[in-house]
Amino acid sequence: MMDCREAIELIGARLAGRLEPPQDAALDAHLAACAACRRSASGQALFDGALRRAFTDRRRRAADVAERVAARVTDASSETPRMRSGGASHADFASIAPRTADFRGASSRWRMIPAAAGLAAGFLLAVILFPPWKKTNLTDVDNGGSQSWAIRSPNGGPGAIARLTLATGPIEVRLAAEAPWQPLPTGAVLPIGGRVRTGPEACCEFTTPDGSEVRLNRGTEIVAAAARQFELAAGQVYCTVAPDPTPFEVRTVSAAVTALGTQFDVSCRPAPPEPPNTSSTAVEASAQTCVTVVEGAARLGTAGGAQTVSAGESVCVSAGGAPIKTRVDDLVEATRWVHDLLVLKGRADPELKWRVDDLLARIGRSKMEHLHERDIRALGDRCVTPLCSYVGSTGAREDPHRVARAARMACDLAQPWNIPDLIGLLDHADGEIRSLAAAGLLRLTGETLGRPPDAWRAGDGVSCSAGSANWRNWWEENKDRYPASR
Amino acid sequence: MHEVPSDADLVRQALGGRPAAYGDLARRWSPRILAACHAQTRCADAAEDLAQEALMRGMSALATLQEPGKFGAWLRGIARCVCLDWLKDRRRTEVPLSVVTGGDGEGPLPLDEGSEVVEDDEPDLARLMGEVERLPEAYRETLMLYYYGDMTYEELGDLLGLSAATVNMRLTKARSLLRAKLTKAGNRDEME
Repeated sequence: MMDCREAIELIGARLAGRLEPPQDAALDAHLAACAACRRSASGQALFDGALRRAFTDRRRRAADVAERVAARVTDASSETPRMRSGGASHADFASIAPRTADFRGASSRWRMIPAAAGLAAGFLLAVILFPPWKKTNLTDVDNGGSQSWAIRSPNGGPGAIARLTLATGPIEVRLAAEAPWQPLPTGAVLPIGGRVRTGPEACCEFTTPDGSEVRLNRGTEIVAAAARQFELAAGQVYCTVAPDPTPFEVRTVSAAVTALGTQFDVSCRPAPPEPPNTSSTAVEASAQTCVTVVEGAARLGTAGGAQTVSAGESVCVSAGGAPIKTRVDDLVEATRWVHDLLVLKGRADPELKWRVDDLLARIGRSKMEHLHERDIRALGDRCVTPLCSYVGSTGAREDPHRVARAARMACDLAQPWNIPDLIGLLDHADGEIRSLAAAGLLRLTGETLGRPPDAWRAGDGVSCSAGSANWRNWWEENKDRYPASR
Repeated sequence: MHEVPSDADLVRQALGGRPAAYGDLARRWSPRILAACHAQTRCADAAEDLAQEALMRGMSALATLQEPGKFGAWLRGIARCVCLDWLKDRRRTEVPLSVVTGGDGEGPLPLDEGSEVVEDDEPDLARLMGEVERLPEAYRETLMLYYYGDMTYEELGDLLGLSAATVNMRLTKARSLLRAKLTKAGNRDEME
């Protein structure tokens, strides 16, 4: 019988998916007999889940940092002639290495470096990469119709509030009160005072110069009042807010929502049409504002006062009425309308992966699991890679039922560019998973390579690894026949 | 499963003239370097700029890396230097968002009015992150690397020079400390 000290170690290892079945069973036996370790296991699991959620936004920030670095490296390479020609890129990057040495406090090395011709060019490249007089900040630059974002100092931006980055249908803008509505193309800039509306079939996403994102649901109308200030006339917006000294605010007719954290959803249901001569106050009183906080917190200010809304809470208020706070158990479901936009993003989008993971986590825990599966399937082939990643992870061993559901969805939804994902599943320890993957490959390629799907169910480790190797070789020889991505 | 190129492979590809390999290295290491910067500075906002700076310096100096297999440890060293430099600089005047909006810039967001420290219930995520930043350094860095980057115990052990068992112990202890800070049940268990 294991002691409590060993049990505590195994509780941590279980959360990381590192327990073999015998250890797993031994831990369960100990927990059944030890109330203190049971409490500890429960607390560890609770905080593991909370930490994963707390770091979701941080991981997204890390992805943003990576993309900025990748973009700047690419920019630098395009500004250096030798890199454009290829084959000499390391020389260009190596030439700015002294800056790193200088940073480490070895500035004297500068004097030791020969005045090689490449040094000057390298230094210029370093200045391009590390402009010492500027804090890195994404600010829109009006450069003659170009739709690019550029690095500029924070206070140097023009009156552009946001740029339309994604849209699932036509979006319209009105630049002045009496001006006609006109189409707003993707990539166009929304100026101060600009009013935007989505139709009944379109939703869209704007990105602000500070990196915040504002998503508009169908039937939504907003006004860009100022930097980080939007007025929601009707509809629903979902905001992911970047930190900045300037408060980020969404105002409706009955409330103002100020970001204290990172992600929140605000809906404004307009009052129903009123008969003529009804006062505007009466109209405002019947409009309702609801804010749901997904991460962090937001402050909801109304005529009656202000209150903080925390992650997982929703507060609805009508002018003159008391706010009603409710707990939202399923934030992904409550904000599922944003999925239409997420599927337009790259397959590696961390928010998409987070949402697929969250939906997966609910399968097996809820009687409504078919609804979660429906939501995952609605994401289409974008969710195949996260699903396969889950199926192949060691942590997934804890719930074979969920693994099988995930594998079935992945194999049903896979497209030709997901063939490598399915080949990866042929190495899975569970024969049912291997069989599903082989069936998916048969659907996509018309091939079995001499081993039909049913045969994968009963195979042993040696024959399976040989079969999966055959598939890998086949893919190397045939991948050019299939589209790389949609 | 797919063959994932090692750090050494990507370093060699980058130096061999495949610019996309720089991006692959940045994507792989960005969460880990951001975690290291966040852990060292305890300031999430500054950590993003510092991580970007460290990654750029690493990419630009890649040709000076003697052992491509030690790319991670080498890059982490650069990040430590970048953070130390930032910490030494006392002239910064950055204003955190929480100060501007009325929160406590140094600490976690206050509990809602009328609420109190709860029994073992879902912790407030903003408070939780505040307590993560207050953890002792060894626990803080290990925990941040784990949750930022989805690193395995072996990868964490390689980076930090620890055994997998020590990584497990630190993560378990860190979660216990957080639970003790944020819940009555955790506080009671920690006292026992």
